[in-house]
Amino acid sequence: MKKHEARAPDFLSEIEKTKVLQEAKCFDASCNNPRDCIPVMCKVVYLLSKGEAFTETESTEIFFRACKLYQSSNPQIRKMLYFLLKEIRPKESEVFMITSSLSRDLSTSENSYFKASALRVMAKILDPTMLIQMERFIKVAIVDSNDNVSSAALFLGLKLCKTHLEVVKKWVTEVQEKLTSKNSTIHFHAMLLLYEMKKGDALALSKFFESMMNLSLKSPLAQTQLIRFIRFSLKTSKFETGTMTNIEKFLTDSLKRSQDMVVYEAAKTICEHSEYMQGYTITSALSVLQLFLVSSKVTTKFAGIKTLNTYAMKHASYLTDSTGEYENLLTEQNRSLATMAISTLLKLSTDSNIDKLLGMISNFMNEVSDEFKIELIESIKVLCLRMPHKHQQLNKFVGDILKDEGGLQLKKIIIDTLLQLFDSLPQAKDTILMTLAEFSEDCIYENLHLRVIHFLGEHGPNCKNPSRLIRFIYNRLILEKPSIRAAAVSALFKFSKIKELRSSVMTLIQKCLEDKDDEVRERAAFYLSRISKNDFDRPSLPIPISKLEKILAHCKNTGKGFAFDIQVTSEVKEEVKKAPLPEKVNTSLFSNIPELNALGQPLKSSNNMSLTEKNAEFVVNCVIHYFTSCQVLEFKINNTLSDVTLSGVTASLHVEGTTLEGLLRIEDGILMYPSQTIGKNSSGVSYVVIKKLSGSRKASVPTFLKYKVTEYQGDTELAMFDDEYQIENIPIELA
Amino acid sequence: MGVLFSRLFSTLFGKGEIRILILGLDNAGKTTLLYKLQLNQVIETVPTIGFNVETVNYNNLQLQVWDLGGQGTIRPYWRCYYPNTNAVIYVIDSTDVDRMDTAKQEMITMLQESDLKGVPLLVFANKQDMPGALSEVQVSQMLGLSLIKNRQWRIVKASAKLGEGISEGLDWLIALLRDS
Ligand SMILES: Nc1nc2c(ncn2[C@@H]2O[C@H](COP(=O)(O)OP(=O)(O)OP(=O)(O)O)[C@@H](O)[C@H]2O)c(=O)[nH]1
Ligand SMILES: [Mg+2]
Repeated sequence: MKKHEARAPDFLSEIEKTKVLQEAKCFDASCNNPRDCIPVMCKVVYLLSKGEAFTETESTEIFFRACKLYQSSNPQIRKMLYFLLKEIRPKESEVFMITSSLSRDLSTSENSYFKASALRVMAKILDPTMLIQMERFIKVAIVDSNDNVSSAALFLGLKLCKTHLEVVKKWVTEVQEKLTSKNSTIHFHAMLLLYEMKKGDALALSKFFESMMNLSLKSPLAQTQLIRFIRFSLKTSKFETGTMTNIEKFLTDSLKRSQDMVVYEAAKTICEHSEYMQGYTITSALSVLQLFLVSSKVTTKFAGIKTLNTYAMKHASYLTDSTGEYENLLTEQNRSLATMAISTLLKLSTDSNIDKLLGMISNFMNEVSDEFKIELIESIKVLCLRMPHKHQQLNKFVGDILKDEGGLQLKKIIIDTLLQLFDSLPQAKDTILMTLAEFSEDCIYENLHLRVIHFLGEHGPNCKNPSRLIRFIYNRLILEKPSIRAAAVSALFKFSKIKELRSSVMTLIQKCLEDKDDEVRERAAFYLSRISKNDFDRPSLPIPISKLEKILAHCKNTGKGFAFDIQVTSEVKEEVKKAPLPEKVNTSLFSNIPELNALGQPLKSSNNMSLTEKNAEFVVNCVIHYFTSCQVLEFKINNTLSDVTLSGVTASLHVEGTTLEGLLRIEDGILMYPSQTIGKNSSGVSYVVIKKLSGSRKASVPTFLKYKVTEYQGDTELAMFDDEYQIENIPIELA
Repeated sequence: MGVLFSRLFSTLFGKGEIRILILGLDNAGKTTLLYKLQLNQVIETVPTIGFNVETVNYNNLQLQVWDLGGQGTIRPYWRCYYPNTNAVIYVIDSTDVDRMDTAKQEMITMLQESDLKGVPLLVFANKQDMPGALSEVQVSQMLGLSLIKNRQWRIVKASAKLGEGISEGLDWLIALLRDS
């Protein structure tokens, strides 16, 4: 393995979260390059789909970065972006960041791909605010001529049904229009959506079914789903006779379709609602299912037998003719199929073959999953009720399954079954109580355990041999954890009703007064006192339990609400905003600049040079002072404008291809002393110091004045920005 | 503005990657402005939840313009968009006298962000076509623009609806970016 890795490094394992988060910075670039972005996007998707944990900050960060990719309309980037957004699943509080972007995709984009994808992203992340904005666009998208868009919109509608049915209902006309679409996916989705809109209202629903059945749906998927919807609705809604006749006819017709899927759904529906069907309809459904049993496909066989099995539960007599076919299935390699066949046979069994069947099942019981054991338990229950005299064998069989290992679900169902049988089979009561008592010896599911012990307490005292049960319960007191011990104390107390047992029960409970657990001790004391008062009936509460529960819940809620309030108020802290610090105005620069004054007297000074037109907005004059080591250019600037001030005036000299500007150090050859603010209609001075070099020559240098302009109207500032202004060339000495 | 800056901007312009943020309170007219710029027409807007981003061609320059939603809940997220910004356009509804102070506070908060250091600011005193609109002078005073010393800024009266003042402001901004 190591060697192999060394040869071909596994590039996936090198994708590392912190690194990827770093790389994702490229999403911020103002011009996204697909070659940079897409690999990083892929990596993020990879990490997310692999379940890598992103902290809240990290996912927020990556989400906001990803949002910025909207700036690019590069199709590859966009495609990946939609994908990424679906994976990121942004926090509800941040989703809004892409609302506008998605709505633009829908409202103005000409690109159907963008539209469809935006809808699909919304299906994952839409929040209520977003829905308000998107509503009308989604409505239009449903009837979009592009199938992808339409399909995505319908799908989104389906998603929204769960949360915003009222909104979706407004699109009924658009959705209806799509029922006739040639595209089978679209008409399938349209049908699903219409059903969701109508299912709450029986009348609307029956109209919907009528019209759908008339439409003769071409897609088998749609047909199948329609039949399912009919099946679901029949459970809860009643339809008029006319509608029922149509439904029955529709189902019978569906039995003749060529797709197994459709036929199966129809047969199943007929079986499940056989009470509404005519005898011949049921017969044809059953014979179709029986045909399934000889199909070459295991799934079809299984579907057939499973449905027949369910049907057998209610109407065994319809099926007894064909037990031979079920027996054939017993030899199937596929255990699920065989179990299902047995389960059916059990339901159809008679006195003569029941023992044989039970024997067969025991043979492969340990190869069967819990799910099928549950199935068998159901069959046994039916059987017990049908053949009460066989209850000993059947109970033993159930008890054996109960003793075997099994999940909570299985155990729970077995217990449920036993308790039901307890009620319906008086002759089995003692056997069942013993089975339960034995189960309590090694039950690992606490809730179930408590239930069993409680049941033993309730019913044990009435059985033939209560003292046997007491032993089991007493064992709990010694062996189990506190919650179970407490339940056992309560159960024991119930047995004290029986006079002959009372004193021994009291002895047992007395021992519990020394229990380590508070609850156990308290219960023990409580029950002992009740026994001493001959008070064996359940004490009644001053108010009904349900009311007490409500009051407690209310107390709890208000308590919580109060705490929550406190939290809210403490959380809402006004963000303190600081005003920007006004910038320090440099006031130290006057014509008496110490450094310049330190130079002493100039060797000579030039004449005053006028560098602008006389009537320019800013009139600039310059005098050059020559010192041994340097020359100082003194610019005098006269601002003639009445709505503008200048500040920080400096010069920028373009000397032989390079620009001398900025506040450089004198060692670098130049030093600037920008002017102070030059007010409206006033003037100021700016100095530029240029280092003199030996062997200097004169050159005429193009010069710009650079400064900050502040524009005014009256006393109010309206703008402040940098500007420059070309003045005449200046003759200076250069190296 | 030094030599370095000049180079930086010339490359920016060369590649046509100027990134501009449009900010301002909700209902100020940001989105209207963006699409007036892009399409030269007044579109019907809805409050922006999130952002709009468009490439705008202005005088042969490609501007990448981000219009962020201005609602109170969205403002805290403006800062996510500050990095790499070349200019900020702050739009004011000049008729919304009551919220001028909020607009000011939000602007101040924004300008403090280090990502926007030195980034020029163009303020549009928008909706000048409406009666009761404050003048740009009044808006400038109420926003305290004169306190801004560390960046270049300008306020221009505008109507995004009529398209007035927009080019005046934008020309200034572009010239600024170009000249720096
Ligand atoms: N009269 C007038 N109305 C304008 C002007 N600019 C925008 N509006 C209107 O103001 C309203 C809000 O404009 P939007 O552009 O959506 O505002 P927004 O700043 O984008 O608002 P959010 O997205 O919520 O931040 C719309 O009804 C526009 O028609 C203008 O210059 N004059
Ligand atoms: Mg907007």
